[in-house]
Order: sequence, then structure tokens, then C-alpha cells
Amino acid sequence: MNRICPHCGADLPEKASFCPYCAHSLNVRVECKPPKAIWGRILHIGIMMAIAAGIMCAAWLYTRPQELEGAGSVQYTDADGSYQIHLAKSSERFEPPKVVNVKCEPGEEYRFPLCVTFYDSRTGENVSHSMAKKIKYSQISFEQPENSAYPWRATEPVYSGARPYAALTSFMDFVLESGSSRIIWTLGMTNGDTIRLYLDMEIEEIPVMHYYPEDTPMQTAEELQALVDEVDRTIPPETIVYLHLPAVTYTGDLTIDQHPINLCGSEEGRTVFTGHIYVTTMAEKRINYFDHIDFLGSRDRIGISAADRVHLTDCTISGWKTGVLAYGDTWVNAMHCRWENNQIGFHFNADNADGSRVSHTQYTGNQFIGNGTAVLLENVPTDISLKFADCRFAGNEVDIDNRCRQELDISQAVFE
Amino acid sequence: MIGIYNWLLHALQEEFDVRRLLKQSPRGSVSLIRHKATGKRFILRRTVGSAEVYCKLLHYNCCFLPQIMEVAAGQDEVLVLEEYIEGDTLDYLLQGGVLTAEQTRVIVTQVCQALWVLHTMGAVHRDVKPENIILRRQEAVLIDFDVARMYKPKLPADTEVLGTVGFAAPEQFGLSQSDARADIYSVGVLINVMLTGRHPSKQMAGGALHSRKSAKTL
Repeated sequence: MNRICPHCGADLPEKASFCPYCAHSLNVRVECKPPKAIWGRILHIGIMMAIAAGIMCAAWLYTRPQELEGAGSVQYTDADGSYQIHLAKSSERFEPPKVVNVKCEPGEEYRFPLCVTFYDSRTGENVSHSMAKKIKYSQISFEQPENSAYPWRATEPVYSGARPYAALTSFMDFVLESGSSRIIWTLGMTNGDTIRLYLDMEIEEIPVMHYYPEDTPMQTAEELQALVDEVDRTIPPETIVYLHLPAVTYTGDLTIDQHPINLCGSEEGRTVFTGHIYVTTMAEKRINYFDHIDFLGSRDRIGISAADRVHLTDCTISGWKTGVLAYGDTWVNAMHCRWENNQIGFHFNADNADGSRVSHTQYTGNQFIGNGTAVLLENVPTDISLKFADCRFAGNEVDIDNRCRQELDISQAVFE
Repeated sequence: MIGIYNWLLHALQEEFDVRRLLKQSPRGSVSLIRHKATGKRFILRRTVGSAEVYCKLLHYNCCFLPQIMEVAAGQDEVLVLEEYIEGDTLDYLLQGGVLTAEQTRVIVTQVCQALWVLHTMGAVHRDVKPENIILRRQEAVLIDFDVARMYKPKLPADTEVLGTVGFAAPEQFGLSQSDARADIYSVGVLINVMLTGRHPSKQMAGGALHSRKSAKTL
């Protein structure tokens, strides 16, 4: 039997595999593809799988929301750039510490502002304003003992015009009994990233010394000055000193020039000073509190010259050429005081340039009556608005002489 | 195949021109022939050897082996018409110098893949050497199955002592039947020649084995 060439139709032997007339192969052939070595195949597959897994992993890592945390500060990168985020008190916002040590006095309430600030990592520029728009939510929590009778508290984080450099500001409220705590500030960003900033607060009790007239001579100005001098000599600087004054009239001058002193007037009568009080302690973080005291003077003198921080509460400043003069590197605050018949009631002429001494800007509940100039603002070392809530201005020739154009809030003051 | 021997011989005479004689030996000849009508070129082998491996390859295609077009066995010889592989033999290329390790690896890998096909069908080449490897562009093609045979497990020894001296494994010299391992032996010699230009008995290629052998010798 023969076969026919399917290409040229030539007559061929049955067992022919090739047509010599058209030079075509006639056989159906099996394609032989030698297998790759198993180990090579496995290795090849393994490498491909590893690469694919690596790509998928990288894609997942790149696209999934970040969770960052850091003590005091954290480096953060989003689609728009890299930033350094700081959590700190406003005075420490450039070099935020991880731990803040605070000395607290028993029975006193404390508050300080805590800020979140953003800086461009490359230029160092403050970019808090633009980054604030990327914050979806912000919350503050504390690591503190459960069921504490005096828990740490924080106000709602908001943008504060008083601290325009910060994206958010919150006030921390605590007392000595609140104890040490970790503040945890969580930022939820609009792109899904979560940032946690920590700040550890270490609370230490401040040693306190109380001097009472029953135990210590302080009936006269001389005795009082001697006591103040003794405190300067013998009491460590960090100890808070209270002088609980009797209901007497001190006619001499008093100089407080080293150790800050808190003068507490008698509650069984009025403690009166008719002499000049000089406060020149220059204690960086301390305030001299004068409570419940009448300062009654003559028209040719200054009642209190404060070159260091002084807070007056429930005092009467009356009859002075200048009732209280704040000068030098200082800050003076007064609340619920009566300023009467002074040529100048409160004269603010401090020159603390960076505002680091500012302690309290609320001048609540003061009464300015019958003064020449009730309040003279010549130089106030802060841009923060001074608030005169519940204040009364009556019978003054000039209520407020605001020569330095300090921002004031007198919306809740009464001017008669 | 005897039946088609005469037919093929006649057809070759009628339809093909002999372009040139490539090899002549006591075992036969190898000629380059051209199909008159189409101009296609083929290799015509006339050999006294076994046709069984060629007959097996009639039904397979492998890029590392020449395509066998026709096999016809006469009384005294076997005619094999196969694909013409255009390229230089490895032997010719080695005259210009040794090869790099990477070049050697690529060529030997392809030779091993050709041997895999042969071994899978039960065949042993028995004459793996540079002269029988043609480099066609990126491919190494193993040619010349004149001494190749099908491995028969029951036979104690090869009926003939064949293979090229130096490349043939010891068992090819009559002590036992050569199987696929003989080709592996030849590949080993081939590798050494490709890397050094010399037989391993004269110069071994560098490497761990060479170092160990040298140390032992010392």
C-alpha cells in the first residue's frame, strides 16, 4: 500500500516519513521539552513567589495607615512631606522633654497649657496651621490610678489664638494628690494614620513652712523683716514659706529680696501695711502671694514695687501715689482687690521680652474706685489678652490708660 | 525500512544534488545535499551502524537534536536523511580558545537537555564530544547518532567497543554495557575541555575538586 504526500500529492511508500519530492516531513512529531531540574523549578517558583509576596507586602505596608508613637515628639511622614510633631508646654515647644517634673504644693490647684506643634522636617518651619487641617480627631487620656480622688483632667484640645504656633492646645489640671501620670495625646489624621504622643508628668511635693504669730515674733515691721531675713538664711529655696500675719498694722517698709514669701493676712481682723513693700526675689518659677491684706499708704509713695512675680487676692490698695508697680522682669496679677483713691492704682511697666514670666491674665473681680488712673499699662510682656471680668471702674479720672495698646477684654467690666 | 531503501536511494538521486562530502570514514559518510526543487539543504548519512536511535527520533522534535527526516536500512548500510544544522562545531570554536564558565554552563546545559531526550527514550549517545556539537545561533545541537544505541538491560556488554578515546567512559571499552552514565562521563570530559582546552588527564579545570585532588597528590 502506498500513501499520498499531503503536501504535493506524490505517491509515497506507506512507511515513508518524508516526501523527497516536496521535501516535507510527513510524521506527526512529539515536541520534547526537557524539564528543568526540580530544584531549579522549585527555586524559580520560590523566588517568584517571594518577589510577589515582597511586592504585595511592600504595597500593603505603604498603603496601610501608619501608627506612630513617641515620647515628647515623633517623626511623621505623609504624602505631602515629613514633619516633627512636638508635645510640650508652650515654653518647651522647641525642645520637648519626655518627662516633666512638677513641684506641687498640697491643697493647691495647678494648670498648664500643653500644645501639639508641627514643624517641617526639612526646613524647620512651623506648619501647625496647615497640618491642623489634616487632624480628624484629637483625644487626651491619662495613665493614672483608677478611681483617683483627684484625677488628672484635660480641657478639649482646640486651636488657641493665644498660642498661634500650636495646632492644638489643651489645659492640664491637676493637684499634688493627682500623682505622677503619663499624658497620652492621640491624633487621628484624615488619611487614617494614628499618632500617639506621650509626656510623663512626675509630681513632687513641695516642702512648705508655715509661720504663725503664736510661734514666731511678727508683731512689728522690724520683727517681720527679721523673720523674712531669717527665712532667706535658713530655708531652702524650693520650700514654700507662708507667713500668717496677725491683725496688726505694719508701719515700716518690708523688703523681700531672696526667698519668695506668701503673706497671708489675718482672718480675725485686717492686717495692714502702711510702709512700702519691695519684692525683688527673682525666683524664676515662684510667685509671692499676698492675700487678705490692706495696703494703706500716703500719696507720695508706692505701695508695692514688684520686680518679681506677685499675686494679690482680696487686698485693698488705697491712698498711694502708685498702688502696685510692676517693673523689670516680672508679672503681677490681682483678683478681687479694691483699688481706691490712688493716683495710679495698678501700673504695669515690665520688660520681660519673651513673656516667660506670665502667670495669670485674669484680673477678675477688682474694684477701681476714685483713682487718678485706675490701670496704667505702659509695657505688658505678653500678647495674651488681659481679662477684666466682673471688674468695676467707678469715679476714676482715667479708668484704663492703655499706652502699649495691650489687648484687653473688658466686655464683662462695669464702667460707671 | 528495507522496503523504502531502494525507493529513497532512487529519490535522492533524482531529487537532490550532493553539495559536498563532509565526512568519510570506514563506518560511512556524511554529505550535504540540496533538494533541487526547493533548495532546502539536508544531511545524508550513510552508515553501517544501528538505525534504531534514528528511527526513534523520526517521531520527535527537540531543538537540541537534529530533526531526522527519513531512515532507510539496506542490507549493508543505513540511509539517514536529517536536518542540516548550520553553524560551527564546538571543536572548531575551541580552536580559537577556551570558553568562559558561563558559556560552558549554557552549552553543557543544552547538551544535557538533548541527552535527556535520548535517555528518556532509552537511548545512549556514546559519542559526546566537541565535534558532535554544533552551535546554531543560541542553541547547542547534539548530532551524530552513528554509535548511539538503545540500552538493553539484559545484555552484559556492548557488542562493539565504540566511542572516542578520551571522551568514552571506561565501560565503553568492553567491560560492561554502557548506559546513560557513560554520556554523563563524556559530558564531564567535555566540560573540562571547554574550560581548559585539554583533556582532564592533561589539565584539570580549577575548582574545589581540583584543589582537593591537588592536595591529595601533595
